[in-house]
Amino acid sequence: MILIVSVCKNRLHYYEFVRPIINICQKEGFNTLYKRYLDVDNEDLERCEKAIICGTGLLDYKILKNPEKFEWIKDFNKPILGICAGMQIISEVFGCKIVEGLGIGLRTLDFKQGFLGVKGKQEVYSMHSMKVLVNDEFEKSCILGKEDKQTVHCIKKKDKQIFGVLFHPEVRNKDMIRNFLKNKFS
Amino acid sequence: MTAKKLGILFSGGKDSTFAAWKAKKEGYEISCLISILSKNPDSYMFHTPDIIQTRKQAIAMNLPIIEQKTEGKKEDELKDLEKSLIEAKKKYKIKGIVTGAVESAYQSIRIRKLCYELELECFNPLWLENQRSLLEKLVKHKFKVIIVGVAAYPLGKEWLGREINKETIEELKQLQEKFGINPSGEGGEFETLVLNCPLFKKPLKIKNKKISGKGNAWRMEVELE
Repeated sequence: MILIVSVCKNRLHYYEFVRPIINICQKEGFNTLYKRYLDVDNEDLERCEKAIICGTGLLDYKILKNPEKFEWIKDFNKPILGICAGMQIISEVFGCKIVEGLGIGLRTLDFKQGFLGVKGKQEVYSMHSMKVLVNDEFEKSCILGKEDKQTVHCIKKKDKQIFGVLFHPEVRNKDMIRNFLKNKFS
Repeated sequence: MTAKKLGILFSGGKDSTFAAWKAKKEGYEISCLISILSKNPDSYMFHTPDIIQTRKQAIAMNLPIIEQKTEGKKEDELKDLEKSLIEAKKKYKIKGIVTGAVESAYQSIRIRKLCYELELECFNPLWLENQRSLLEKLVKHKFKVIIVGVAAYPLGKEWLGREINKETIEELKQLQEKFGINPSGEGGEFETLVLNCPLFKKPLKIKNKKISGKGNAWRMEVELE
């Protein structure tokens, strides 16, 4: 069972940011448990083998001010994938700073070291209004821009199977989600 | 709690109409329709056949409509879209817009950027929806949709005026398997017009029609009543 966590403030955003992820999971034969982030409880966390924290609308994250609702991430001890706002939340839980950083569009990233089973150049679909200043608890990859303008597009927690992508893999990189589901992490 | 007021980026075709219906079903208030009347029949951004008929569809839905003309030149279309969104924000106090985008990153990226700059939410409730299932949902929820334009082999003149029903979906499915036609027409293979749906107070009828084109590119301009 895959726990699918929604951080959408607006119900209508569910169709855009959550349902496509559920569809990919189900198409791969995985059962899903959909929960709004405020409703995730211990029973859900015990039942599920993995969690995916989905993205949300560009104006949504500014109002998401409940990081304490994600403290469970620290103790989950099972694979987690954070997509866009999901990556920002994971980073914040582990002490990273979230700053403004707009990125809307298609761009090419080079997954030189491999990330969630994908290696080499790939086009990705970005849609974020914030970015992460990543600390040493994470391995960083696909860093674009120079010095203070840098944007980290992929992260992995050093001692855990916790991953984050700033782009939306459900649009152009579905294999990443499939690989995550099938434990193909490197 | 008051429902959030939304504007619908409306072409009169199946996707924007279905997206509008979904927004209403989720409890949002549709405050206005926004139609971009492009002079360019090959617009990069906007659906063009029969766009003028959106006025009749707006009446059928009992909704106000903002009609914005554009020459349809590539990036200039966005400036005209921006004008219409500013007007909708000012006149109808909308907090966001709804689009019928399904797969087009080109369209989606540009609209999202614009909405972000204008501090408007951008909702795409059909985003990444399975194309065939989308057609089936239209039939299930009693949307009367006809084809008014084709632009891909092997589609021809005979497809104009055809209603999207179980038989049409089956045929499109076969064309997808054989020729790679997108069954939802998302790649511009065909364009549609909605004559009735749960948002309409009364169905629309075709009063007059004019067919033009050649080969695998045909369009049917209609006058609705």
